[in-house]
Amino acid sequence: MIDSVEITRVSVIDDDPPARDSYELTLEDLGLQAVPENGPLGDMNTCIGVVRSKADAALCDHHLKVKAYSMFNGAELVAKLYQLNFPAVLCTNWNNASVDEMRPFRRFIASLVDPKTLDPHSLRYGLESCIMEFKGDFRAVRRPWRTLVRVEDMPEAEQGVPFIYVAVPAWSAEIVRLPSTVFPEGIRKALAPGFRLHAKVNLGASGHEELFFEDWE
Amino acid sequence: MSPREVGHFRFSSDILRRLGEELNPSVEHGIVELAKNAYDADATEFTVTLNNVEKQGGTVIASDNGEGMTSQDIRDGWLVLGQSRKGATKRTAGGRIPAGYKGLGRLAALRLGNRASVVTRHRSQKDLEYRVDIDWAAFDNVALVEDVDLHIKIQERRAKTVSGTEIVIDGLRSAVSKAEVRRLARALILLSDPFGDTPRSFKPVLVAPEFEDIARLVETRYLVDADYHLSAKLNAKGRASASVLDWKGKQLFSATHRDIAISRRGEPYECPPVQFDFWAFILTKDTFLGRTSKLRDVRAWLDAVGGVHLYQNDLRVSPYGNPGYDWLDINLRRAQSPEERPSTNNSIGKLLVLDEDFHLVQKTDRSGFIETAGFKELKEFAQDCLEWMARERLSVANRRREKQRKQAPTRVLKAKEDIERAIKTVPKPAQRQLRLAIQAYDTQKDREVVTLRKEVQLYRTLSTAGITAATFAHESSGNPIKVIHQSINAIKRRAQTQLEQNYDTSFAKPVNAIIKSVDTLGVLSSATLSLIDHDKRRVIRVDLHKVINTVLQTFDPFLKGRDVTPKAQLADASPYLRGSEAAIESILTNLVNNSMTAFETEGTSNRTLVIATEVEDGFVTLSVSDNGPGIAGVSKRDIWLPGITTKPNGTGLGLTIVRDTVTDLGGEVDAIEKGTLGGAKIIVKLPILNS
Repeated sequence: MIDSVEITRVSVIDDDPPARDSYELTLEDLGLQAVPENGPLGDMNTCIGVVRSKADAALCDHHLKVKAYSMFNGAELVAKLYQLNFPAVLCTNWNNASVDEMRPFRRFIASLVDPKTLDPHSLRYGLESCIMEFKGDFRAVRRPWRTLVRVEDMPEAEQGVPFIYVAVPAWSAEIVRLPSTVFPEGIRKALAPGFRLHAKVNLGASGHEELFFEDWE
Repeated sequence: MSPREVGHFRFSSDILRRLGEELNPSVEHGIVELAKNAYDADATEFTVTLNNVEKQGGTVIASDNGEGMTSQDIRDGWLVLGQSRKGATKRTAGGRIPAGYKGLGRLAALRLGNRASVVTRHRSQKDLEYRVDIDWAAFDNVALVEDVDLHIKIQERRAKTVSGTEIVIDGLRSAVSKAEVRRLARALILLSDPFGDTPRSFKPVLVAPEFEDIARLVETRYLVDADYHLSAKLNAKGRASASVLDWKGKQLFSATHRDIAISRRGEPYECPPVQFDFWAFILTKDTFLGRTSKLRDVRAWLDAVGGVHLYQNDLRVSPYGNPGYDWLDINLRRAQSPEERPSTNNSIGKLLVLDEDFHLVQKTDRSGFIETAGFKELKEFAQDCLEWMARERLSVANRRREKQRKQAPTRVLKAKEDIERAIKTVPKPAQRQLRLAIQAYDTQKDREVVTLRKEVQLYRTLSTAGITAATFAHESSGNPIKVIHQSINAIKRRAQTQLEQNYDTSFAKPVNAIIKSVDTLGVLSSATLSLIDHDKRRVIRVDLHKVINTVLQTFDPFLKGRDVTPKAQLADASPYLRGSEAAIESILTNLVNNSMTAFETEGTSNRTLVIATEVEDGFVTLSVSDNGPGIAGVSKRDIWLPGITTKPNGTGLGLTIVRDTVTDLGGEVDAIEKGTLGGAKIIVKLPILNS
């Protein structure tokens, strides 16, 4: 029982079999049963259906497309599960590139854990965060606030999606890189260095990888 | 029981302001709506005259030679605001598809002034004309719109007048700026496609010098100077086809629906039929050599009327094609992949949509179409056509480059033949001397080519090594390390629980050793991925000290692993450079690598590495010193050359990269064979921003 929700089986989604087995150790120590997803995962809807039918929560890696295991990445899957009120923890190594991939889904990823720090305590904490958010109760690092966002730079893209560099003065002086797809299409056209707009941002975030942006205006 | 009372919605007179000047505040929008009314009335001409509009109180006169209105048309049509388009799809007597607008734009135009009047002469009533005068002040003193009576006066037609309507807006509430006049002129010229091959049946005119300037530009047919003309068609079944012609009219590429709709796997586009023409120019002096048009004039023309304009049933829909409104994301896509793509500055286009059933619906405030699925499909069709053209152009560019590379040796041979012919024209004794001199030159040149080829090959090999390392960095940091972390942490947890005190004595040491080693292993992949981070290649204001500290932090496990004690002796000031973090990292990483290699070669004990900075006279001096063997076995001058190395498996590129990077940053390099620490000292002097 985690925060009054009955969780006994946790779906383990990772494209590497030894990694799936290793997560089982942590789950066992938390008194939970691991349900490994051996893949291929099929399309998103099929995968969600399978996961929900066999487990009460999910522990998922982000880089799922390295092998022929999945057609989508873990961030998207975790976000979709979250939107269905299904607790899901994203457990992955990240660098700036993977943070960019996660950013569009970050609002719906309540818990992002580095595999190095994944243990029964951090896993429980992550699952609790999901369940709390389903009830509208956000931890301080995740609570969204309406705030000013200022466009700092819009360099020409070297490849792929261009990046927009923004400042969130109420959060930190650090400049944050956002893929342009994070902005709604209508707003994207108006963006230019110095442009100011508002969005809901979790100002309690301790690092840029935790930031999410929604309700742009 | 009281009798049931009946109520009606009624409109406060304030609604006129809300729906007029507040909903649609620009002069341009209002006048364009009047022009559309004239178009619906089958007018061939629509003339706007501005009198004293540069200050408040001026007058706008808009007249057309359309069929005019009867009193019934005025009462049941012209004076009715917000009437829907339903039933308006029947063509006009002149065969036009009526714009059939809601009258709110007209209201906005009429309310530009304090007073407005309309005089109209219907084609069928040769002796009569009707007049309505509106004094907006009258609405200020009443509660409801219908409380003000508007009288439709019948009067005798003046002699020699043709049918049509004249609207006078008097006592303008605000001045009309020159920029607004220019926007209005542009909007009127572009309203009815001026780029077509057939004469226009509807010609709006603004009596103003700004209009004449733009009209003159439009009349000049610069479209024939376009280097690429994309002509694409979408038929009623949603199937696309396209071709691209060069400026001589020769077809360069052609496409079927499948080629264009590649990203949607050949699915048809679900929108009304479209003809899309797009002209892209290469605005360079070279491309305009031999053409009658001048580059300067084409630039001015594109600046005035460029953009991709959208016409629905022959009338332009704003804001598509307005300056700064890149609705097809042309610039965004060029930014993503600049080669062989147009920008909004060097292109012009038009989409003609035949939409008799008005599947595309304009927003009430005239800010474009409602973003329905149909509109999105139309936009996707246009974007897919541009993508296809870009793909074709890129493919041609690649073939051209390949050809040039293959032709290079042939060209050299031909150049040599030319030289030989030239030599034969001089006296014989001089010929021998010239041949010897050229032979010596060729020998040196060949050596240089061989060196450069080796260098290029080395760069390619190292790039491949880098790409491979980056590709597999995820795997190395991802899976095996993750598994070791999870497993060792589980062993630690379980052993601590089961063995209690015995854990510390028997297991703590080896378990902690594994955890520490795995952390070190993880650095390899994170350092590799960190080096290729996109952000680091941006040219920005770089904090040198921050980069030094980051590099030392990244290298910390490696340095510790090799018993190297790093020391940062940084100046009190904070030097900032103009450059990229990648460039600075490149310098530091190569210098640190060099020191580590030197330690290993010599087997140095008490290994010390010092990174120091000093700021003076607008420059920062960065030095990397060690207590290794110093520079030996190679001259100080040659250490910067590519391929020069004293290590068997060395690349000899590290210091070359350092030198080239420093030169790019506007700095200088130097070296001391044996510095104060006993080993080599490399000195880099760079200009700083905060001198």
